[in-house]
Amino acid sequence: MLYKLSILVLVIPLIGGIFAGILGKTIGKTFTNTVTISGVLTSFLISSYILYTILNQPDLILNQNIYQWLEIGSYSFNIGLLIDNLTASMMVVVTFISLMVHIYTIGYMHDDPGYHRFFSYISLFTFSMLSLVMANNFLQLFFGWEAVGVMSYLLIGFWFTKESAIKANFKAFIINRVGDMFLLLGIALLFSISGSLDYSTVFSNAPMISDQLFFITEDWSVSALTLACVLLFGGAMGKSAQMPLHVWLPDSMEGPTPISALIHAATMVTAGVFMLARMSPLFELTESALSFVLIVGSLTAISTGLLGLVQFDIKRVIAYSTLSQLGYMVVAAGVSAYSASLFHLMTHAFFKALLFLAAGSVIVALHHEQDIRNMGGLRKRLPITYTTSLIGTLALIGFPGFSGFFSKDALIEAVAHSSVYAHEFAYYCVLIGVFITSLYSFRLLFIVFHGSLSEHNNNVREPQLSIVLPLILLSIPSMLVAWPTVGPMVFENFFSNSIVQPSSLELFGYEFTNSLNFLTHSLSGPVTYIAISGIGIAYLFYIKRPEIPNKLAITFKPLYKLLQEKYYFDYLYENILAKFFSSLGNRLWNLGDIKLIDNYIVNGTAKKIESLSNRAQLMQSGYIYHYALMMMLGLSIFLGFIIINRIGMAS
Amino acid sequence: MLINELYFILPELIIASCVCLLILINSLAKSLRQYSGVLIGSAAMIACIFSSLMLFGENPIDIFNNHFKIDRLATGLKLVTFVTALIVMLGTNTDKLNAESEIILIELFAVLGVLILCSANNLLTLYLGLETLTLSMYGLVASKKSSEIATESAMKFFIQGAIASAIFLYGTSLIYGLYQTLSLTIFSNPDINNSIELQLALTFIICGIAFKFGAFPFHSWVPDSYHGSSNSVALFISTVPKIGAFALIYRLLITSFIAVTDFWTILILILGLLSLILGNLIAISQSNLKRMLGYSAIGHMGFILIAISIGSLEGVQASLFYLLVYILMTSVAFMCLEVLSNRNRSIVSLSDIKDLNSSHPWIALIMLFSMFSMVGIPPLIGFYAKWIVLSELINAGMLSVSIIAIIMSVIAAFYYLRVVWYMYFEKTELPVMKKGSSLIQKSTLSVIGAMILLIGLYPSPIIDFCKLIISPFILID
Amino acid sequence: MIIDQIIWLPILTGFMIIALGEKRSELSYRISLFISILVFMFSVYVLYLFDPTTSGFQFVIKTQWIERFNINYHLGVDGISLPLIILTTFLTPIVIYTAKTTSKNKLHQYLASFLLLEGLMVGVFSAMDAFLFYVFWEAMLIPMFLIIGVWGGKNRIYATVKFFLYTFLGSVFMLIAIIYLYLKSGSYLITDFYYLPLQINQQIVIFLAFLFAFAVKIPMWPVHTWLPDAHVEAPTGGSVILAAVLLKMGGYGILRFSLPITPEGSMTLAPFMITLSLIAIIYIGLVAIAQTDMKKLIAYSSISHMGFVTLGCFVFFIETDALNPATMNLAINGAMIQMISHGLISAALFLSIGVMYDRLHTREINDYGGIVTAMPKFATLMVFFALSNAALPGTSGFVGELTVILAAFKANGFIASLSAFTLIIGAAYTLWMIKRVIFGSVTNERINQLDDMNKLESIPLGLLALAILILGVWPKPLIDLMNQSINLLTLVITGT
Repeated sequence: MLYKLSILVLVIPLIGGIFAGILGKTIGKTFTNTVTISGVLTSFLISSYILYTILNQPDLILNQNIYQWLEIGSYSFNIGLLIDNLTASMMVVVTFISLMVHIYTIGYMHDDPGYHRFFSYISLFTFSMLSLVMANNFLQLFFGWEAVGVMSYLLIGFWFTKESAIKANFKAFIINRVGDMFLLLGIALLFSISGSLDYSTVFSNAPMISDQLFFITEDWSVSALTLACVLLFGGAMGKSAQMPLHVWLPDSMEGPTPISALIHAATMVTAGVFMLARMSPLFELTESALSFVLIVGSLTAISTGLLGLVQFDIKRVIAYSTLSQLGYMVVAAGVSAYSASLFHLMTHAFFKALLFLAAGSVIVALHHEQDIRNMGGLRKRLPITYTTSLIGTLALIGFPGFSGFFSKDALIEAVAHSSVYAHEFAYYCVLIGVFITSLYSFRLLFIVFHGSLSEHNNNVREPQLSIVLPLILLSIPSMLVAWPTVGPMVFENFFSNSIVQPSSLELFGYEFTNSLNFLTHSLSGPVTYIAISGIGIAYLFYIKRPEIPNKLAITFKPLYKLLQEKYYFDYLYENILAKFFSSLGNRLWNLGDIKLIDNYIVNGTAKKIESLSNRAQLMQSGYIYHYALMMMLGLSIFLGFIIINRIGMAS
Repeated sequence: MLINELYFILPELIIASCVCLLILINSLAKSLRQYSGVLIGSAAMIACIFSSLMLFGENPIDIFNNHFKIDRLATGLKLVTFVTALIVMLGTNTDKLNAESEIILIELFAVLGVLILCSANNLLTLYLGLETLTLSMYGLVASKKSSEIATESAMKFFIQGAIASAIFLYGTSLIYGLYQTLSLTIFSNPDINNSIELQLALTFIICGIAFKFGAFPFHSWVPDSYHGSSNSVALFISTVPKIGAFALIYRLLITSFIAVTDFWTILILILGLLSLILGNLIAISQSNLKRMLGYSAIGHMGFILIAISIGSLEGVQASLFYLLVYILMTSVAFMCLEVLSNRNRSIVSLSDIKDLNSSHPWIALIMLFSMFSMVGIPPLIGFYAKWIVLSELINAGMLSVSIIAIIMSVIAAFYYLRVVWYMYFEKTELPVMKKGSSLIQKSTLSVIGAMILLIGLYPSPIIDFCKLIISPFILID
Repeated sequence: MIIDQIIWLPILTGFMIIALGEKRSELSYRISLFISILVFMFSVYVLYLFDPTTSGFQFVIKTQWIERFNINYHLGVDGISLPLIILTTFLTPIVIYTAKTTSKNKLHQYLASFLLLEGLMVGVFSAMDAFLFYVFWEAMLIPMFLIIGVWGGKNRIYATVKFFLYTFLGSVFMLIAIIYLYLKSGSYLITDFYYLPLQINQQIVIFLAFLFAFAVKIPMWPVHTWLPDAHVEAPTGGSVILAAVLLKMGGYGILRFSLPITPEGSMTLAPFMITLSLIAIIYIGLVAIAQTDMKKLIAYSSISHMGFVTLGCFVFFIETDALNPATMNLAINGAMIQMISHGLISAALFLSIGVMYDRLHTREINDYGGIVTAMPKFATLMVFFALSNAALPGTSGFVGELTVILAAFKANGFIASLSAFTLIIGAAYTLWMIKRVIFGSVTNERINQLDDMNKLESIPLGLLALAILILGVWPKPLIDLMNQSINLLTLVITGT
């Protein structure tokens, strides 16, 4: 039963997507969006039902192969399903956000020529994302991993005539491929030792793997498990845009806004975090890999947040905030508080999707204007958008009571109580991160919605229902979802059947009774006040004394430049690495292939032979005495040869 | 006694009588001239084919007190000669020029010479046949009276031929001086000691043979005479005389002078390698088709000589097979030229056959067969020839020689390919005109062209034929 | 018997069509299309009759051919050759079907050449007698030489002569090796060569002799330079067959001759072979990035993909502990899948380039841009093929590379890591081409007038896309087809 239902969840969006893609253009827009939306709606409903059943029957896990993909000798590769609490909750989140985005798209893409294409893409993306989270083996994980990558490639480049868009999607794909390479190598390493790709087998062999040594040089060796985990995390760094592979995410904002909400905020980019949680049985066995994760995460959390302060593109600001939030999740995983990181993943999915969609509605309202310097005072014109994005922002900065508050607080607690190498560093990073978060979030809010309304925005009004409705629907979970869920998901054993992590007491050093209690408890911590002080500063900078930021920018010129250049990562990749490799390729081609092999060796030989032949031809002079001479010479050489070697014999 | 000995030389008699008949007709009934040659010639050949088939069953026998030898090889080679000559005559243009110069008549003489060579069992008989053949070849080359190159090349050919014969004669005289006999049978007994005199004598003789084969450095007449003579003549002199040359080397070296086998094989090997390398090398830079074919012939002769120089029964069989294959390929190539050319335009240079595929697709295809066969691409027969020689070489442990041989055949591939690309890839303004070449010619060409492929698909009969006529009784160590 | 028909039916038809002459080219088009489809049916029937549970040769035909040298006309099919035969018979109808997208002079000869080629290629894959194998192997040069030379681009003569001499030079050494083996074993039967007692140094020499022939065909660096020229100049059909089938013969030869005949030799030279494969994968991949000509780019990508085939054929030799049959199985299966899938993908890509070339008559990437606005359907397929060329999971391109990389990692982590770079490089050159050709704003106004694919073009591309997808989503049947024979091969290699 459960099995059939899960297959339905998986397949329906696929069918919807294919239908929309093939027939959409001919049959029409209403057909397209009804087919796809009803598809996603059904799979949302089914997955909520699945979650419900699973909640009612604890320790119910469905782990079943659908079909055998490949069988070589003793090795067998399968396509299969693993439905446990983790999967179920991810399914619900994914399908819900996807549903919201589908609805939102009706209005947002209304008069875009690629309407049906867009719907089929997002449905297919939903399918790929689901197959990623529902996988029961590494192979299928990799399938989904690459599939979502491709869909994001296609969707970033959705407006394929825009040079910037196709540049961005190319970049996104290549950088993701770098991550994927690590992931594949990690998988290969695990396979080479455990001889299987199924989660269950690999996890059960985890101790054996960690005993194996992998020799990097003759005398320097690491535990194979550590190496494998680091490689796997390399994959996560690509998808979840951790430094230094984060550069593609801001550029991906070239895609339509619904995509930014769905793929580049809520679902795909969190795949890495999901994967870390999935792999917890492996990561828990290797401290060093964990601390690597922790360091990368905290670096991302703080540094990308800073970048958010200097951006003027409304979507890019949110993108950078996404980056830093992803950093938070990774940090949580680094201190093996997977539940916290997953919880943050969920809440973040809601409020970040909300923020993006709100931004989208602003963009629509202003006729595809994205520069916040041309906005301001929109709160009277766009009341719903304003309120919803206010909610989203409060959730993001972790204002007490909002969903983000619980998740972020929990994971900071975990960092505070962790003992992994470099946890202090991480702790300060995340604390500063909180401040920065609220600073840039409110900077955005103030600049866009407060201040004076410029006259050419006078006749701006709220977009149509299909755009506004998702905002309202999303703002509800952004506010409230944490209250009932934080307890079971973070502190109690909701994930216990799918994640291996220390008991909540040693993780958070705090006995959980109920959410209110947790709220009051964490008010004793610094987090809330830091966040609120951030709001204050933002208010000072962007409403009271708007000149201060520029002053700062001038006084700290080098720092400001550094931020504007995004730490020169793009420069490094595009102008140094990419250039180097393409010129290397050119050189290899011109010198190696053309000059050396072709001209020198191949054609060189041909020329040599030709010249030889021309020289040999001179013998045929046409003079009879030459001919006669030749014959005589031939004869006498033979004779001489005989006589000489006879003489040789004699003597 | 003499009468039933005559029975054994039936083919020779037929040809001789046909020659007389032809002379009579040409001198009395001038009107018949144009066709008489081809008719009588081919009739004679057919008759000879049957008669030699008749003789094929007979046991080996020496007649005319051991001057004349009728054994399997003799009859077999004769058979080959007749078939070749038949093909040549059927392929020859029956136009005025050929008729006036009576080339068929001369060709019949040449064939007679070859026959004598085939059964010669005595240095004198051998020389007789040799000269008959060579002299008529001079005549053939010169037959294009009007053209200057023809006479020039004939002159050169004559002088070189004279030198060669002189060398050969000197060799034979030395032999006579050594053993007071000219009969070849006595030489085949192994107690002839390997004296330096014998070696010197043999060297002279081998040089004479090398000239007949057109092996380097006695090759100069080949390209010139091919170039000078008309296509019809080139068709003949590029095929039939080679059989004579093979008979010569077989009778002289392979079945005689056993004692010095490892001496003469070295000389033959050197000659073979030289012709293989230089022939193919020079051919690359030829733009004149006939010259090119001439040099390629030198290359092929190189292959044959190398095969002989293995000095084993299989080697000789391989070389004979190569010879037969060579004859077929070359006759096809030359006959294509012959069929395409007419009085006012003779196809000689590469540029003449540009885009032949459009004007004469069928002939182009046959030419393509012949060319790829010469390259040695299966399933065309040329491949099997090269392959058999190679495997015998490797079998005899002459790996280095075989590697030189294949490298050279790869190099040679280039100029054969060039012919194909001129026929198929190039475009041209003046395509080859359609001309009324006789149906006989066309059908003959088609048949032997198809042979290149068909025999390639089932080469066993020819291979077995070679095995059959190179009798295993030849005394070779 | 049926194998016989698959070989000779196309060949005889080919000659018949030549005889039909230029006048009746329409008729000859119909005939050849019909025959090629019929032959495909035959091969499918063979597939249906084929028993994948046994490892030996099936449908064996054996008759005396050249008694004196104990050569037989000896044909048979096993799990290694059957997929390649089906690939051949599947692609030939496609090539013939698309022959009419552009008006060609001497269409009948064009079709005939492809029919001849088909028969000969099937012959190569089904010959059990080394001599017969060589005959088919070499005979193929003739039609290919003509196809490139007659219907090729402006630099065709250089390209085709280069192609011919390169391959000819390569294969003559193989001939010598075969003759040598015959003299040792007294027969030309390939399987008799397997159990010859050969000294290690003999094995190395023989291995190199074979390698020379196969390396040119595959082609491996540094004897690959004929391929880009040949591909660029060849007509679309020519490139398709060249990339899809001819290159596979090298890999097939390695599996049929090099590995089983000279296992110790292969083992000794494995590091060398692996180095060459890695050079092919990385060096050639980088070279592909530098290309400005679409066909050249795909040609280089073919070389780089074939690098995985050779890698799969040799990587298992260097596994630290003694030869591990499991790894061997994995690697060789990977190599086989890679061959099949590359056959499909490269064919599809060359056809796609042909579609564009027929419209704009240029292969320069810079002359294109924004194709998708004019030809959305085509663009969709092209992007799909490009992604499968970049080894996207779910397409056949991924399966081979995955299995080979897994096997390589079992043997040696560093080699695997190096080969895994193809994920980045492959994506880079393919998608960069896509970015500049398919996407972007229309720069060349002639592109706006282009009309989307017609029936002649869409059907073949659709079929190929389908095949690629199916193999990618469910490759198991293919593997089950080959598994037994490859098991046997591993047994021969391990010498048990």
